[in-house]
Amino acid sequence: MAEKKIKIVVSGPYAAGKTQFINTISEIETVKTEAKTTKEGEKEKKDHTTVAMDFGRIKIDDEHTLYLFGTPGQARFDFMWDILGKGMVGLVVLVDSTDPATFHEARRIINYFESRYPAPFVVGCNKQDLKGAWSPEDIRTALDLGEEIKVLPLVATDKENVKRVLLELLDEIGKYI
Amino acid sequence: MAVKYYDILEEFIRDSGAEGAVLVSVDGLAIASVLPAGADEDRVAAMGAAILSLGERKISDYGLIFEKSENWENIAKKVYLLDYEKKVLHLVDGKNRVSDIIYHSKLSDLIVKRTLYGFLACGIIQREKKKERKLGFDLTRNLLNKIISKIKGL
Ligand SMILES: Nc1nc2c(ncn2[C@@H]2O[C@H](COP(=O)(O)OP(=O)(O)O)[C@@H](O)[C@H]2O)c(=O)[nH]1
Ligand SMILES: [Mg+2]
Repeated sequence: MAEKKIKIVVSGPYAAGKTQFINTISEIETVKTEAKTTKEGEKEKKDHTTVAMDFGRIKIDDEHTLYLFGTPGQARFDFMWDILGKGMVGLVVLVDSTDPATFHEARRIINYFESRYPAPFVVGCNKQDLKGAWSPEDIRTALDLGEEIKVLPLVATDKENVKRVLLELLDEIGKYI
Repeated sequence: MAVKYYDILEEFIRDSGAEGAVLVSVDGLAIASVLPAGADEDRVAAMGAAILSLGERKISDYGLIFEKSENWENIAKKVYLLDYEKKVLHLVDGKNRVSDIIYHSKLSDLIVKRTLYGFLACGIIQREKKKERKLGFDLTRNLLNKIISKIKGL
């Protein structure tokens, strides 16, 4: 029997924690397609970046597998965004809560998916373990999100945290079945 | 098929005086090439794909929809609106996309976007509240419950 893929997309600005989020929850080791970063600015934050994309998978039953796809960062892989957006059941948008300079990019990412693939989505305010992290309520205001959207605290290195965010998303998805 | 491509590439090189030519797919893979000795087809293809996508990031705001906020009339009374701003405000109706507003107002992209963000900042308009969300997969309640218990058990 052909495997049926159920797709959840994990997006967010550079270094928000997409790869970390997918790694923390995946059953198999995430298929990473990382390369050394070459842009000067990018090197300060981390020395690897996701070139094409990363994904994780979680087998649901004999027929169905849940895939988590991270959106690639570089502009030259923008064509992937359409492929990922099509057919997704839900979206997690991650932001680095300690880096308000990236909130604008996060808003643009939400705009992108909202205007093309308006699936249920939640926002994960990542790196809440770090000093200076903005609170989810402040991030909600910064991203101009209404009360109907869940804006959740997150530490993507912690499995229970990642599970909670996914369960909140699945709860949202349940409202549209 | 590739043979035909070579003919086209050869012709292109002859007509343009270029040193070489590569036909590249959107994901940066070489489909066919006519290159001088020593040039690496894959490298040229990857560079070409990178250059092509530089100009246009897909993350743009043209598809966004705005609507007038509840108390927009009160705010509009307090701020002085220029004629072109009134035109843009009139076109904000919860249905028009940014691209429609640009088209119908005949104003430039930049002016329309700046005006909309100004409106957004002073609360005359707001982002459309999505009433309908779409799942890209035909999920059943049963399958969703399976996914939920699987994740809980991880
Ligand atoms: N302290 C802390 N660091 C995190 C957390 N999540 C991710 N990181 C780190 O932030 C950096 C960027 O994460 P990464 O997953 O590569 O970001 P991506 O660009 O969105 O894929 C990495 O060094 C991660 O280890 C978190 O919850 N807390
Ligand atoms: Mg990554």
